[in-house]
Amino acid sequence: MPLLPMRPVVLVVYDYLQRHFQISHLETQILLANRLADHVMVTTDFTFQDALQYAGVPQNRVTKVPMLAPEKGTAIRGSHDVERTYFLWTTNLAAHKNHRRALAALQLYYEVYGGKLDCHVTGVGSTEIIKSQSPHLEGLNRVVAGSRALRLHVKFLGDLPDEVYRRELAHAAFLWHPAELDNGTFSVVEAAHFGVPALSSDYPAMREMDQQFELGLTFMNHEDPENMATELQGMQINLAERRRTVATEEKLEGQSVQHLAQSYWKAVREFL
Amino acid sequence: MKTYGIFIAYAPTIDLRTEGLGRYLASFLKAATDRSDAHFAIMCPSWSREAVVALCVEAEISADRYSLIGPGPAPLLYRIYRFIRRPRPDVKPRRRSRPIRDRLYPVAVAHGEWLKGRIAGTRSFSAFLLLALYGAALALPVAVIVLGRRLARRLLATAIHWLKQTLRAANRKVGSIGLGSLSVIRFKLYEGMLERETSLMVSNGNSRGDISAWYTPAAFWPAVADLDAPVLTCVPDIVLAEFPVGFARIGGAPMQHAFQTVASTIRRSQNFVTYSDHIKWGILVEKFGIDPAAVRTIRHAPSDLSHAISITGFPDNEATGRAYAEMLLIGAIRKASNRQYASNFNNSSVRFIFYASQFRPSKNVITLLRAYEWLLRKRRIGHKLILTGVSNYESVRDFIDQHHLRSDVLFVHGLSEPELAACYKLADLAVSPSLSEGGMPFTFTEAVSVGTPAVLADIEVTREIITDPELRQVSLFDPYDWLALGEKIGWAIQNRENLYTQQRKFYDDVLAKRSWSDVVTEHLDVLDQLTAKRMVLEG
Repeated sequence: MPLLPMRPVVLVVYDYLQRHFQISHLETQILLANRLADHVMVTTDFTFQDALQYAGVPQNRVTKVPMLAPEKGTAIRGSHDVERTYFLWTTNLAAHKNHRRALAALQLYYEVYGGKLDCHVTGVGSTEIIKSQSPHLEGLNRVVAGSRALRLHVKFLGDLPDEVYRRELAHAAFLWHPAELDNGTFSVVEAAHFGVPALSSDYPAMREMDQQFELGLTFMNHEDPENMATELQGMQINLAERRRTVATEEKLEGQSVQHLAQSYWKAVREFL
Repeated sequence: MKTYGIFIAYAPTIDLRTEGLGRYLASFLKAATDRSDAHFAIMCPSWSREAVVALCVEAEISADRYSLIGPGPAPLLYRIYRFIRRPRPDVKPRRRSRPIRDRLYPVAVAHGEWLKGRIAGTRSFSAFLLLALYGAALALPVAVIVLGRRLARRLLATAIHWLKQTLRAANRKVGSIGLGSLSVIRFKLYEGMLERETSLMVSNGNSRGDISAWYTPAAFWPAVADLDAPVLTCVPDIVLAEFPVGFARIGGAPMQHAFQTVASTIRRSQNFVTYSDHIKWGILVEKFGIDPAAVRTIRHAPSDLSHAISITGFPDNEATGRAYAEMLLIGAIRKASNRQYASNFNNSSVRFIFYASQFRPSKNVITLLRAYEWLLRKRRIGHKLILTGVSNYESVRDFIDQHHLRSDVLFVHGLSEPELAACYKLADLAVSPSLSEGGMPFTFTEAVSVGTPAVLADIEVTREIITDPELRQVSLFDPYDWLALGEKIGWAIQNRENLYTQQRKFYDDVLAKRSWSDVVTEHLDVLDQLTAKRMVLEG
């Protein structure tokens, strides 16, 4: 006799980063949970493929549901005329955030392309990027210390309170997302609510996010600092035009939880 | 009816079913024993009898179609070795005390619960003290027994570990002062045993007057030159000569000895057969100075695996066949060396790239791994890579660990023929990056025969068979360029249907025209010619 009532288990899995990066020692337990679950829900085709190929879950036990992004809240679209002096790089200390190439790109942007916009770095642990001794961050302090342009233009703000972050975002020229891989970042949707365009790494989940939310993202090759720097420069020069391509408020409204919840209910209902 | 002899003397540890040469031998024997005008006597060492029988059973060769000859019981030393290395059951036998323990345990637990409740609920200090003392009196002997057993086990394990370390250190010291380490002594003993066994086989063979000629499918046994009847020696390849550094690094003295044995066999033999002109001219004629007239090239027939996987008699044979293949694939995946990952892998429709081969320096596996890692991490193809080599091959293991590929590159060693066929059938693509082979890799025909396209390294033996420039363009890649291999795999997966159609046409129109029966006939023609020549010379 089971001690607890047997209830079906439906897992929502956002990504299988552990397939590509050494990030967890719980790999076996996570896999087991996936394989024992009655059903797995994912939000991108990329994660769908990883569920089949990496987690080894049969296709009839995986469903893709739409991404649920933060809603507009109190966000107000800023005016086109306000002069914007910085862009925002949201990150953390994880290896897949691509810090080394991002800093190389920033150095090229300022030193070679004469970039005018400052870079404000935010996110959990972001003040530690140039202090950490982790293998993927080691030596970045020397990169920053050795470049006057980086010291002058890049400001590590750390983990900001929500309100402060939203204020920072609202006044940013654009949002920069140079990560290598994940299930997509909602920070670009948040930015769109404020009418702020985004420059993102080109990987499957971000393409899917761009398609679902019609964000009008600009993409860059996150493996090539030269290309990243060129695209940063492109954002700076074409800022007005890039702001016009950001998804309209009506389009974003169509992606609200209220509109998308039906897909989740449809998948879960089968198990009740 | 003529009787021909087949001479093999593989090492005791070789399971012929998992070796390329074994699969070749099975195809050859199957076609040979189907003939009504010839009988085949297989001469093998005592230790290989079981392996040969297993190979024939798997190839569905009836036992009455061939005879096994050779020395009778295996040498005592080998039997001792087998006894030491015998497989031990995973599950420990149930001890006799177990039923008593099983009965006592619930009683003890229930009593413990009762005691716990009484101690927790008592309101009298004296009752509490008495119950606590009673509990301690019960727990103490149990604790002494449990801890004592654990301590004894720990001491025993430490003593065994110390003994092993000491023996290893002593072995290293003995080796370093040139007295010969244990491994050298073991190798020398094995060498002596093999020499004695082959010499017994030769005298046994020479006592048989009915065998008109001998065929030996590998050049590993110099003693074949001592057989009285003419011998046709097959030289599949001599990769040791082409990749001396790689083999020296993994094999040391035994590998050098293997090369010397091959060289000695070639020098002592007079009649040769190869699978390709490349081996004939590039190795035997050029490197060993053999007269080209003494070497015949007899190419392979296709290695068709469809019989091992095809299903008939169901309303939808295709769907049933696929379900059967998927069941076999899951069985194969669960054999993977990364058991923790694979033991409960459930997706039988997993997409993967497949390469069936042992790992050797000539197999170029690292290039394949580099290409795969690029496809997985940069091109995001998501496929798995399934290999049939053993996972503890040093360079491969290091690459897998460094690039965090333990869950994506699966090593499924020791597949049965149906499992192998299922892997080929369900793969999106078969790949052979090998830099050197005796003939065109079996990868091509094994894959195409069950409906899967293949891409192959652009090497001489393959170019001998695939001569059409267009087919070469789509099927071959530069094996020294991992990026070219990665791009080729990516392209082939995207254009799978077209590639398969082109390759299938070539398979049907050209390769399938040749059968193993043709291969056997050509061998028998050569053997008959050698017999006739001998008769003329002796006559």
